Amino acid sequence: MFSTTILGQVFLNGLSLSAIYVLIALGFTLLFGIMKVVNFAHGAFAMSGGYALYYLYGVLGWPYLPAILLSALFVATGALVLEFLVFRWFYQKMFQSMIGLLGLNIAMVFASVILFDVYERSIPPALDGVLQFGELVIPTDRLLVVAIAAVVLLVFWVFMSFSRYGLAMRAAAQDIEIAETQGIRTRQIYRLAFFIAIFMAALAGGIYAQIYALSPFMGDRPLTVAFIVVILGGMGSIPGAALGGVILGFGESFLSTFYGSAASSFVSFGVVIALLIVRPWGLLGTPE
Amino acid sequence: MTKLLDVNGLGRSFGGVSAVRNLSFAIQPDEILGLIGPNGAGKTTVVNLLSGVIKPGSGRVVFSNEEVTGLAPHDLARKGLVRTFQSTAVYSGRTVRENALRGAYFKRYAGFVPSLLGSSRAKEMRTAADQLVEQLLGWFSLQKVADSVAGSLPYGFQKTLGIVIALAAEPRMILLDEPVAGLSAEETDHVRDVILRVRKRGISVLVIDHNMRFISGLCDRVVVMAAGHELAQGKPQEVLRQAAVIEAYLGKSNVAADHQ
Amino acid sequence: MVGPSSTTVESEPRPSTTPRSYFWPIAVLILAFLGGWPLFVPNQFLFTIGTFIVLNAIGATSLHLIIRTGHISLGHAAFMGVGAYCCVLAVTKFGLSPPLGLIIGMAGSGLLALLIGPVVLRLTGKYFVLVTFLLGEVIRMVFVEWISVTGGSNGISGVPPLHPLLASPMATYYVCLAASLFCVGLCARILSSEVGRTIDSVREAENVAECSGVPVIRLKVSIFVIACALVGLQGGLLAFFLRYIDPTSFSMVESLNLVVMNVIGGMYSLAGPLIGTIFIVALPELLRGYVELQRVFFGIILIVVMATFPGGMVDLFTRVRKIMASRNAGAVG
Repeated sequence: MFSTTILGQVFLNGLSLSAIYVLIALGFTLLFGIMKVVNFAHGAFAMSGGYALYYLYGVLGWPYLPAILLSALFVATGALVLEFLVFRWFYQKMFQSMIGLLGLNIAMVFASVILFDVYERSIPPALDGVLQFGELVIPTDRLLVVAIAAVVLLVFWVFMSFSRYGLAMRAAAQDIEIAETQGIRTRQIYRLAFFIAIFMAALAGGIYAQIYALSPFMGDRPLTVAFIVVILGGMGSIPGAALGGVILGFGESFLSTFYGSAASSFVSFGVVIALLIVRPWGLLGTPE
Repeated sequence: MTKLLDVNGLGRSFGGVSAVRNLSFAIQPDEILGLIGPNGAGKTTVVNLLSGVIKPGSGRVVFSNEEVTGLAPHDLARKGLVRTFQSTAVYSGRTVRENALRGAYFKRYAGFVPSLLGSSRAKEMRTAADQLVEQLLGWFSLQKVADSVAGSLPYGFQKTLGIVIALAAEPRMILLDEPVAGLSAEETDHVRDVILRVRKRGISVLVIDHNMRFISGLCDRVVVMAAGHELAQGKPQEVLRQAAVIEAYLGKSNVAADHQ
Repeated sequence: MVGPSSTTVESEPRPSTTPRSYFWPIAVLILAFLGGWPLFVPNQFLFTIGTFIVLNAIGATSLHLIIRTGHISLGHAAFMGVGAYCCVLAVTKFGLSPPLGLIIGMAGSGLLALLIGPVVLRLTGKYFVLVTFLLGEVIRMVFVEWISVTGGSNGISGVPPLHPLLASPMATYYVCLAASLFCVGLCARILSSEVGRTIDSVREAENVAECSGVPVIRLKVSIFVIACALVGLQGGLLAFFLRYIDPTSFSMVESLNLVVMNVIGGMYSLAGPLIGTIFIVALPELLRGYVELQRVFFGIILIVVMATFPGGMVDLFTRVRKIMASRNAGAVG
């Protein structure tokens, strides 16, 4: 059962799942860490990314690389309108943000139903063809997707670690009031964090829609994943989101291949619930 | 005289760092004991340990001849040991009278089913609780503001209200957590009077605070702490003249100058 | 009472209660309406909506009890499901009588609450919300995956009515109305008694309450168990009403609806979930036809409510009343 071929598939599957999960979770944790907002509409933005990719790549036929990056860009830019209209009323107000953004999620999902109808669509893969190593079959589009995600995450890491804005964002996540007194323009930082978070969510959504299927309700699963990963890694912790995403991605791949998807779901939920009870600040978070 | 509170070898660490180490002292009935020390000395941890908010890692606490080590706050309250809090000390959205009534939990609460059924016993208890509250409000001159919202009152009033809430549980001993922090000199004197009135009602008091003048002017005895352990114990005038005590405070406040 | 300190003897009415003198006439009027309208407008569709409203009132008010202790549960519908499945299984697989099934259902959800309550109720604010969110999902997955017992996604059909004589829509409405009145009445009684005062004290300043002698965890668990048992009753009644059950009736969406009913109506007053129930259940049903547009508006309303008056409609009414009262005072003084 544990042949190299199967383990290889599991590894690759885990890699592509991890890529999606880390992207989704990073955006979610940014919004929580800096603005103290629980974005219940995060899945809806992923879904928007999926539809954007569908239109740019599937319908208009643009080449894949620009299509996926620009679709995420368009969604993030358009979302700035929502940032102005909706999100900014809930910054630093955690509970209100939960219910309010839940409302946004409902509005966005059903607006999509009106605009696009409920039926599932599929997005053609980025590349055809496979690479073959012995018995191991690797679809090239998966590799491309993982590569794109890796590049985006690398850029993000460099940005957060070395740029002035990245440092400002980290300061704001630590303590918003002190950051303000140090002259950091919170409004600007909020908008920047929001843009990055939605960009990553939309990118993840596009990939997710390609691998699975596109529908107005496809965002539910990414939202749940975001919660699980962020709780696992620590709410508000960026390295935690990365670690959690990798753990969940590989864990799910392994468990669902050998024990079925139901078992995989139960285990991931069970672990997270247990974690919330004994160590709610996650693996890399800070206890309050 | 039998001790009301007997603390022996109390200790607690957090993540390998000991916050309180081998602390022993006793409080007699009708006594006011002060617990002082610089920031980080462990005073707040001691109050949290004695009031059941956190569990001791070592040591024994005996209250009124009963072993109470490690009991939860509500059990300790039932035995007659209550406390106040430095922050979130009152129900700020409620009236003063409502605050005091909430403190009288034992007096007004007849049990789940009796409360729902409105039995005569429940009604009697409620009447008794109302009377206790009126008495307390009168004792501390709070009748004028009885119907005001606690959060709208000056800070000094709120600190007094915190003490009233604790007293409504009809305790035998009360732990006061920094009762005059952030108060003006006038408000501090007022709280001092309140505490003396508490002692007159036959209730022992343990006060923790930074304010040297306040503590030495109020307490019968003091325990000085530094870095989690006891530095000295005894009457304020004696203890505060000790070299070790003065040294612990050097650079923190002008203790030496005050007590020359 | 929120406002500048006063030195007058009369106190203003508390924001969360209606003035005493109006209470009973309004209550009698509402009860008469609830009991009487089916006799004047015997319309099947309206019976169905009415039954849904009164049943959801059970869920909304029982969740309100939990919220009053300071914990928002995003998994309340899962407990409804536990009650429903226990009830239906007791009746279909073990041949027990339907009323006994209802009791078994309540016992099932109450027992589960008793098991997990002491553990999860120690968690603070957001962690409790997340745990209940996840637990709700896990329970729903159990409903879907444990096919041999629960019938999986298809659920269980062929559920008999509560009683052969009570099978008609009108009778069903009255039965559910009676149950609802009992549950809402129980919640109201709890909240207006010394228990309610203790609950509020725990929510507003838990440390102070505990040091006044309140056994906080014990209280929270007791309320949690009662609330989950009540919503389990709703589950059982729902099963007898629909004559079948499946996991979709007990999903995250339903849990969220129950929370929203409380939030929109007003979280810290019993009037809140009652107003919210009518709002959430009745409006979509009456505005059938443009389902998606409704939901979009619903979402927008949620955003607006949370952004402007998070205290819900009760908060809104209170503010309006205060503005009008201060205008009158200004005119007199």
